[in-house]
Amino acid sequence: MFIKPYFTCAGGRALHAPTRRDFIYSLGASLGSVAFSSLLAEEAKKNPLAPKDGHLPAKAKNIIFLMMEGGPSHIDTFDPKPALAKRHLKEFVREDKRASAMQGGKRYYVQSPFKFIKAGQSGADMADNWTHLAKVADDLCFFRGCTVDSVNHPTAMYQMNCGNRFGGDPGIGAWVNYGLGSLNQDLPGFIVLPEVSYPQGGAANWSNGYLPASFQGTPLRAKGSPILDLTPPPGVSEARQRKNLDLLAKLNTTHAAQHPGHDELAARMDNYELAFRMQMQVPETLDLSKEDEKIKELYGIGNDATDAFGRKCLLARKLVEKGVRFVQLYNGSWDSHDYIERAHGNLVRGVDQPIAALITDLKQRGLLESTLIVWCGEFGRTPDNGVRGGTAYGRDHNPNAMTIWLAGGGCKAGHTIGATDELGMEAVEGKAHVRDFHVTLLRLLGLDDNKLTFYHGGRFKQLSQFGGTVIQDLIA
Amino acid sequence: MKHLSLLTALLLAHWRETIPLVQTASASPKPPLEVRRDAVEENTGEKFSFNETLHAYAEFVPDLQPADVDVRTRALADVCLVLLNSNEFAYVY
Repeated sequence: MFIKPYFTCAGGRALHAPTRRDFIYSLGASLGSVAFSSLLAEEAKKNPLAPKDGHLPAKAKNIIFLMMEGGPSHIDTFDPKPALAKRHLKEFVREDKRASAMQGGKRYYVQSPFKFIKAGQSGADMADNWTHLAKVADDLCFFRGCTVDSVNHPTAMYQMNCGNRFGGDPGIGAWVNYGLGSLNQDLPGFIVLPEVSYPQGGAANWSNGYLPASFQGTPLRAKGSPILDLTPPPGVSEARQRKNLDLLAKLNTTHAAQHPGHDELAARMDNYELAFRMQMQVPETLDLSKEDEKIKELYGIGNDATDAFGRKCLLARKLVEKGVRFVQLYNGSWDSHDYIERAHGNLVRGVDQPIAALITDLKQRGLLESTLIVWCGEFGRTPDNGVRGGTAYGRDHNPNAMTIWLAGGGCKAGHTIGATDELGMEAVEGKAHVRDFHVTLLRLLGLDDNKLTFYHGGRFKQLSQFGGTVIQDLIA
Repeated sequence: MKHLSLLTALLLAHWRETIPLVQTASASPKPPLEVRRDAVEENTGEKFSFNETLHAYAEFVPDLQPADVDVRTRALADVCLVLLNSNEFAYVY
């Protein structure tokens, strides 16, 4: 809605006086306001999560976004830098005004402790501890050209997840559901599977931002009951819940009729009903106990190292199968400033088998073509480390180079796009800002970033902030 | 005033109709005195767990629970819960 409401829903008291911009805008809107009000009223009656057509032909219907929080090292995973061997432990001083304090001063180079292999027919570069992922290497499209703007975790997380470093913008999942709606009305269209501890930046990483509240991500708890109080206590029957919800809907509908354009109330009413429907749908979807034992074994469920992420990956497949548009999985922290062999070694051990299983499982079910998998962190890592109380082999944050990979969903599988310099410090070929990457993700889903906009704060806003370029090399 | 009397009638009717649906109520569980936390060591990527005592619950005295009151009060609690969850609640003054 273009005109900011000036009054609260309670008692018609003025919340704030209209600003000059509001006043001028309302003058402009007044000519068409009669017809426009009618259109808005019709629009409000519609379900905001109803499936919609995109702007362009789509290659993917869903996204599973594997967010490796903390900044995985491209140099120790998918972008080998043999030139570092000659400089290993060689000290130098960097005068880098752009970088954070941790990147300046006395530093030393660190060679990767991992050996690399050429995996699959495509000969993809992979550290040899990715033993399972190497088997599906030809399904992956590696992108080494992405750069971001922030060297710090929360702001970089916000930029990777929401397009804006400062937080408060909608997450990609919110934009995707805003543009395409949800394929399942009994489940949220944007589901997040975080770690027990939320990532840096917290729940704002999956916010609806300024979009209507119906589009916010729904986190499922990593341990215990995925959704608290999903099951009613003994003695609370479905009939009793339904009766109470019917009365609540009656009261709120009357209120909504008297106060049109109350977006939060509409979302709350939708959410009450969604929660009721979820009580039927979610327990069945989240229950992994009935899955085939071979499938659970494939994902590494039951094995200490892989159980937690294996469960998330299997759940992601089930959610996508049920029509959930955007599922985001968190893992971390990959912030390996020290002891990178142990830290990245443990982290890779925890996700390698589950991720390979997810790709294999989606493929055997015919879902990989329509499901785009994204693996990334919020930035990459430096080829060197700062001296902090001795030399421990680790790496600092690096917004200028990273590796992202895609699988399925119309990406150019079996290819490596872009390149970093010989030390892995900066992207030098196929270089593209993260906003271009976001625009490309939307494009694969059939959405045009310049048309997927929302009026807020005096201007039309979009995921890329102010437009970007599709990275055609990533698209098959 | 007309709106208020209509609302009152609606709520009273709901109260009466809810009584048959709240005949049973189980005792509420006691809050935990301790919780198990999981975390990941940043330097090594290793997982670890620890127990945290929830001091706030040590002397916690819960309010009356559904099982502690009669069916009419339980039904009334349902009516109140609906009302408190509605935007209409803002107008009851």
